Parts: sequence; C-alpha cells; structure tokens
Amino acid sequence: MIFRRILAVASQTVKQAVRSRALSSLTLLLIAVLLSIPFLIRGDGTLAGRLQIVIEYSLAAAMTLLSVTTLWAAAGTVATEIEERPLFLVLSKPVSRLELWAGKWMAIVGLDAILLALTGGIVAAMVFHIVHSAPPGSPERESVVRDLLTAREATSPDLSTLTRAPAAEAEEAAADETTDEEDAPAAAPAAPDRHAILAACTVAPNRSLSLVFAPRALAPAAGLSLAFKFASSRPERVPVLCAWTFTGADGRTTVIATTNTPGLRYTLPVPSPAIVDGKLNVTFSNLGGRIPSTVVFDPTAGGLELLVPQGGFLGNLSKGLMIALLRLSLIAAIGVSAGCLLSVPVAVFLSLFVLILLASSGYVQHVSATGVFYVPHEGPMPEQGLPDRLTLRLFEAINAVTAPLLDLDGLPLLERGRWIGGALVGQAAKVLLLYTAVVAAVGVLLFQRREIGRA
Amino acid sequence: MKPLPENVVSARDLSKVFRDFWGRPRVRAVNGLNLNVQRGEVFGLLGPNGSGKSTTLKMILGLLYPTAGDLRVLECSPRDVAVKARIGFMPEDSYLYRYLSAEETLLFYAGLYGMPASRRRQRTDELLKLAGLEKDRHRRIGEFSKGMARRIGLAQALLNDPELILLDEPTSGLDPIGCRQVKDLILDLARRGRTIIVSSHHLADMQDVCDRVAILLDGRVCAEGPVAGLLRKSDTVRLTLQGVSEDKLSGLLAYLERETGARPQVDRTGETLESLFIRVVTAGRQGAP
Repeated sequence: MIFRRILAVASQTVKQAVRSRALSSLTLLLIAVLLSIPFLIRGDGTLAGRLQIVIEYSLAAAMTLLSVTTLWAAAGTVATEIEERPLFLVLSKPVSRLELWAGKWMAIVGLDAILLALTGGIVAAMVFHIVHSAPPGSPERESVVRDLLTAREATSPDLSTLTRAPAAEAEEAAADETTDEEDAPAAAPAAPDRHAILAACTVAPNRSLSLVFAPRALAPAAGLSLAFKFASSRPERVPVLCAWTFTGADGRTTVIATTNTPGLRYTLPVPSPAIVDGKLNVTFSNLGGRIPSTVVFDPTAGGLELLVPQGGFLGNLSKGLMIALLRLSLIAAIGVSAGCLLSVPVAVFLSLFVLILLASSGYVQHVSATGVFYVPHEGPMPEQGLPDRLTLRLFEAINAVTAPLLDLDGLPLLERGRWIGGALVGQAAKVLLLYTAVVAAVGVLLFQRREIGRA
Repeated sequence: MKPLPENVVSARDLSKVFRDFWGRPRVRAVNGLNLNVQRGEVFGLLGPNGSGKSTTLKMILGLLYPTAGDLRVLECSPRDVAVKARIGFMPEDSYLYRYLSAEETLLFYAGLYGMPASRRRQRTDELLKLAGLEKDRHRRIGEFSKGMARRIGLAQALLNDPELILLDEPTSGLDPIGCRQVKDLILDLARRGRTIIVSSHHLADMQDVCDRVAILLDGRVCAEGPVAGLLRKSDTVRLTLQGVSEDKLSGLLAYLERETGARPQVDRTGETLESLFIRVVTAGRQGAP
C-alpha cells in the first residue's frame, strides 16, 4: 500500500519531467556536451591523450550537468507544486509527507540512473571508437589498452619496511625517555609519517632503495606494471639514469635500465618470475646520469605503485557510474528536502550552496588539517585574526560532516585506469545512503511541521 | 429515546492566526469557530470572501493547523493521514496536473489511496462515466474547459467512495445542465448516507441542496441552522393553487382579504429559467442527428 502510493507519486513526477520536455531537453544537452567535449578540448594528439579527454572531461562535464540539474529539479518539484497548488489536493489524500518525499526522490534518482546509463553508453562508445581508430597491434593501441582500458589495482610499497630504521630509532628514543617514569604507559609503535616516508624514499646518486610490494590479490599470469614518478634535487629537469632490479624465487635477478625525467609518470612492465610468495621484491638504483641528482619518491601520493590488473574498462565504468548515482541520490535528497521547506528560488540557492560546499570539501579538509587558508607568494604568513579563527572553526565543523564523503568518487580512478573495487562501491553505498537517510529524515520531519495553503 | 446525531466534523473555539516571517500575528482568518456537521447531512458553508471558509476547509483537511481550539474529523485529528482515506475533497480551483489526461488523473489519485491496479481501473471507468468524460479520457486536463475540469475534480473526490465529502464551489464554471447534475449528485450522495460540506457563493444552488448552513463572517459563525428554518418568515405563508379559474381566484382573494384584513399578493409562477434551459437544450440534443 505504501509502495503503491510512493510509486504513484514517482510515476507522476516522471510524467511531468517527460511531458514538460525537461527530460528531453536535458538529454539532448547531455548528448551535445558529451559529443562536443573531444572537439572543444585540444589534447596532445596521442591516442592516450584523446582517450583521457573523453574519460576525464566528458564524464566530469556530464556529472556537473547532472548534479546541477538534479538539484534544480529536486528543489523545484515539491516547491513548485506547493506554489502552484496541486499539492493541496495530493496532501488531502491519505499520502504521508514521507511517502511524498520518497516518491519525488525516487523519480529523480530513477531519471538520473537513465541519464547516467546513457552517459556511460556514449562514453564507452566513444572510447572504443577512438581505440579502434588506431591500427590493431600498434604500440600506441597496446599501450592504452594496457594503461587505460585495463582496470588495475594500485598497491603501494610496504611502508613499514621503508621506514624501519627511523621507526626503530623513535621507539628507542621513546624507551629512553620512559625509563625514569615507572608508571608511564608503554609507547605504541609510531605510524610512519610522511616526512619519514619521504626521507626513506630519498635516493642519492649511486645509492639504492629496496622495495617490497604485497598486493591484495595477484593472478599468476597477471601483466603487472610498476608505476613511478619522482622529484629531483635539481631545479632543472635533468633525466636520471635508473636501474630496476627484480629478484626471482631462485635468486635470479632481472635488471631493467631506464632513463626518466623528474615530474613525469612512467610505467614499467614487471617480469613475471619476480613474484615470490605473492610479493614483489624490487630494488631501485640511482645511477646518476649526465648530471647526477638525488631523487625522491612519494608513495603517499602515488609516486610508487604496483599495478595489478583486475578487470576491464566497462566493468570499471559501471562501478564508477554506480558511485556517481549514489552521489546524485544524495544531491537529490538535499534538493527535495530544501524544496519541501522553502520557496523555489530559496530552495535552489540553498541547495546550490550545499553543492558548492560538497565540491569544496577537499579545500575545507586541507584548511582544517593545516589551519592555513593560503600561502602568500611573497613575505611571511599573515597572522590570523578573530575572523580567520572563527572561519577555521566553521571549516572544521563543515569538514566533520563532509570528510567522510571526500574519497567516495570512482571517476578519478577511472580516468587513471585504476580499479574501482567492490570495497569502494560498498563504502560509497553505506556512507552516501546513510547521509541520504539523514537528509531525508530531517527534511520529512520539518516538512511535517509545514502548513500547506497559507493565506 | 432518539440517539444523538453523530458529529462528523466538530469544531470547538477553533482559531487560525496567520503570522509573518517574524512570528507576529498578521491575519486572524478563523476566530473562535464552533461548528458541528452531522452524519448524512449536506452542510453549507457560506460567507463573503475572506470570511474563513477556505481556511476552515483546509484545517478540516489537515493542510493548515489550528492556532487554538479543537477540531475533530470523523472522530480523529485532521492531521491523521489515515482519516484522509475516508474523505473526498474537490478544491475551488483546478489543482490538477495539467499534463495528465483525465484517465491518468483518476488513476494517479486512486494510486494515492493505495488501490490495487484492477480496482483503480474500475473506479476510473465508473467515475469517467459519471462525470460524462468517457470520450475525453485521453485528453489532457490542460486542454479542458473550466466545466470539464470541475467535473474531473468532482470525480477524483469520489474515487474512494468517501464518508465525508468537501466541495469548494462545486458548481462554479458549470453550465446549468452541469449545475443540475452536480446538485442531483450531491442529493444522491446524501441519500446514500454521505456527509457533504459545500462551500459556495451560489446561494440558489446552496438553497437547493443544503440541509443546514452556517454563514461565516470574520472567521465566526453569524448564523447557523436548517435552511428552511433560517428562510422562514413567521407571519408569511405561500399558498400555491393549480387549475383555478379567474372567477374562483377573485372570490378566494376577496375572502382572504376579508378574513386577514390584508390584500394577498398574487404572482403567476411559471417555469424557472433553469428548468426552461435544461428542457430546451435536452430536447435540442435529443433531436440532433
């Protein structure tokens, strides 16, 4: 009975979207945006560059368009019906405010699902069209199939082995300090911080760095790659001569020599005998080069990763779009709740404000963590006044709400050819649906207090 | 002992104050209203614009909440969603979705009552027939004339076969035949034990259908009671004669004048304009090819 009422509201909302031509206009706009992005943005002309534009910019543009229109439609659907009064009649029927809310939300999320499926279909068609435009077997085509169209899970090196020496020193120092204080609790092993990791990953000329990767799941015949990027001690980008030594089970080693420029990302195929007991042992050697320089890897920012193929592009795209739909469902919930309480323009502006806050959550988190709003190009850091401190408290409060949502996005992984795991989809579903439920509960609770048909 | 009539709607000292953004009282739309609507009667809510009729109806429907006083509808709070399954409401304006067809409109509202698909379809067919809109079932409401929209509005109010029916200006925009049909329908529903509250400015229509009326002014009931009782002049009697010759009439008038001491007023009643219109149009339609 409840579901029939929700379904009735949802079906009426969908009919409204279809017959007011809002859906057809949005669909045409979406198709136009998706198809025109590759012509509007000039890439580097390579096959990989063209694919990056389609995957990164087209999907980002589609998500921006869908986020804004979802918000607009969601905020407008209830608020307009209150202002134009059809809701007077609807709410004179035995339909609760919760059922009305749920019907409206379901309709908008349903339409979003259709539009996201269309987006996915167009993006996939464009990607495969671009790939097939390259001759079969060509190195460029093989490269994009391996790097972009294969979903690979990234594994960082075992940080405990990297920072063993600094961590041990820290433990010893802690032990020395507590010898005089009998009641002091035993010091917990300190987690390696970023500075310690960077120090451990700094390799001077003619020095080496031993790395151990232990990926979660490893297929024996998997085409593993090592992805890396480093910074140099020299301001100019002087190529560095590198050697990567892979050690197999029988102690045999395979050495691959490369010349790499600091600041650029490289991938290196891993010889399959190098995997021992599910682990990869590799040693990086800085052989110097024409002008020797010290190099620094940053594993915390993806500077050293073992890439393990886990699936294809279409499966990965589907999971990315599923997370995108969960994000849109939260946006729809915010819009519907605002529309239940406020007039159309106020609801839309408030919802847009919330959307902008969500979009800025990375900056908000950075400020909350560092306490720094910006770093001036010249001169010392300005002293923080009362307004700055109050804003910082506000940012901390916002961050407490938005931080759990920060990394729940599959599209940045998709554009880098990274595997979107089931764990991420599950986490996104858990967190985003929880947030949606909270927004719904608050919205419905306040909507129940709202009178309809005030003079 | 005759049982006391059951109150379907009962208002005690009901008030509604609309406030501005800052919570300051702006308008007192209903001011200490006392009202009882009994089961099975047709109750008329009369009053000039701004007298509180619409606000009262909206409070009965649970759309607006009373500021003070007590309001019970079918022995429940009007904010109880379940009680709305027993109420039908035809609003003053066509608060219908313009892009839905007549059939879709009824199916949609039937869905809100949680009816299964077969029952929804059956009630929709019945009410489209009752409203005389079978041929226009696939036309969108936005293309309807005001009269057609009123009829579909009335049809949706009857979807759940309600115990209590609230009709806001039910004959507004209807031609005399439509008006007559609506009035006949109201009387038929009352005969079947339904309770009907009608709010209207069409006083002649109200007089035709209402058992009792309340006249509201400034949110208060100024007069209330059975229509016949309110309209009765205690010292005036109307005598209707049929088939009397002029000679006999003169004699009767002279006799009455002698007995009462006042000259009786004579008017020769003919057909009402409404009945003439209905007769002519019905005959014309029947004669049309």
